[in-house]
Amino acid sequence: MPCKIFLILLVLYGCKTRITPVAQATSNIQLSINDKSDKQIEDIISPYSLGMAAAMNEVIGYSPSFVEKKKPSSALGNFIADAVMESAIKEYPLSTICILNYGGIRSTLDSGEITVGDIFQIMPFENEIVILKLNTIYIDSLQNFIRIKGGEPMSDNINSLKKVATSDQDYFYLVTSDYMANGGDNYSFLTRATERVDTGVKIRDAILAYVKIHQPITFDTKIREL
Amino acid sequence: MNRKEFIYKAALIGAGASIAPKALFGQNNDRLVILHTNDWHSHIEPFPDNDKKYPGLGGAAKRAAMINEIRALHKNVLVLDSGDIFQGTPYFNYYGGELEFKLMSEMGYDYATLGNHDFDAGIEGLIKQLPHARFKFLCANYDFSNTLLDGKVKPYAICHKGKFKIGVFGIGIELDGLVPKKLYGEIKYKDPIECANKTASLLKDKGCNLIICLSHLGYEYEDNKISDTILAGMSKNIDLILGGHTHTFLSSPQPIFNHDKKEIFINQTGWAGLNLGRIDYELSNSKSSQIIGFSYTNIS
Repeated sequence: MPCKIFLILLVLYGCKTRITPVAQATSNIQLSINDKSDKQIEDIISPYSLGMAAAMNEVIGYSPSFVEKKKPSSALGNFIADAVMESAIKEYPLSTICILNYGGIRSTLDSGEITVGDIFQIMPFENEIVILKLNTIYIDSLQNFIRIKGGEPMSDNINSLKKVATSDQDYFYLVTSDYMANGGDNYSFLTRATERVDTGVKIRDAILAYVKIHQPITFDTKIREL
Repeated sequence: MNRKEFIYKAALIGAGASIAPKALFGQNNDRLVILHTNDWHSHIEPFPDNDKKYPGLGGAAKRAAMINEIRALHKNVLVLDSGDIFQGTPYFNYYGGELEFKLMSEMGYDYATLGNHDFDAGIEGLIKQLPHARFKFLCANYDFSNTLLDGKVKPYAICHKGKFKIGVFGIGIELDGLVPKKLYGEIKYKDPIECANKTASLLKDKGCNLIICLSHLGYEYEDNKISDTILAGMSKNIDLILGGHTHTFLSSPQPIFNHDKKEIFINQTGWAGLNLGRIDYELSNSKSSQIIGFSYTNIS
């Protein structure tokens, strides 16, 4: 483990008479693969790790490629929104579109075997699927807001929503998370929904089910437009 | 002069002085080593060796070994965290943050502030884990009265390390819109700049010679949302802001001028426990000149 330390001095002129702190600014230290581990800490972790290993290491499917979240849309974001939409539409066939928040996706998905633990990393939150009945007058503000954000995981192009807006329908049904439905991530206008259904289904469970059903996975890499 | 130029010029000046500074690195009562993390988000284990982005990086056991190595060389070490300890791996879903607090206690963390995700299991969820934390949580701009956290999270703390009398306080991000109301309950968010300056001034009056703000505001935003850079520019008496929330990877602490045109520093170490932030201080009573040393440590 070579440890390179370069010290660089800079002389500044001041005229402080009292004792003052002078920063010796050091660069941040990366904890890399070859660094040694503390045995004592490993011993504390070990029983916790074993306690959930069997559940977390269960293989539930196979991923053909490495995918990560991106704006405006990404294969991973599309995949997650599709999973949540599929779960919702089974019980609520009126569901129009699923929109989730980009910040809610917390990890990448690697190629190869997919374990339960991988899905926990992607969606660690205990958030649940909520369906909101919203007046079509909110479609414009939703679209504008998503544009400002630079994109969100969506189950469809937002143009499909625009079609709803120009039809004679007064309402559409948004599939989202309880987090967003409560106004989280500054979606405060979602709290003005006409009706709200709390499905009680966790978003993570919807993804787990989707992975198991859709084997082998084919990722949709197409941009879902704003 | 931007940061890169600054380092470059510092390097030029320092080119001829590569031996002398070694003396600075001995067991030195006049040196304080601050080590810190932010947003480590329950990343207890290193990323897998085949991870595409961070292969084999991070991990609490490696962080602990690094902290111990530094402790062996330096007498005065302060270990701090800027929040979002919770949430990100199944360890949190399964054990609610118990292991995170135990490990930080074992590593000898001194103080931490609260991030928005530290409320992911609600106020009750956080309180349940507090007995596992031997370090103190600080936050000066949340009003906890009427909540179960009242009295359990203090605005600031003062500690002594060698000749240093260090004032540490926390500044939290606005929870409304970020955390469901039912999770943060009756916590009231107060103006961060006002609270920070008030607390820093109080710590100065109490004779602290180094004042550190643990912030979870975020490093910088495209709009004028309150951030560490804005706070720094409007602050008085703060010497160092250790930030979080935006998962910003800074290669080294960033100098910035405060309200009094005095240079202070902001640092943030990314997230997931991939890095350990380090900034050293020495006390100077020199009349004519001060020496500021920038050292570069890269473990590969």
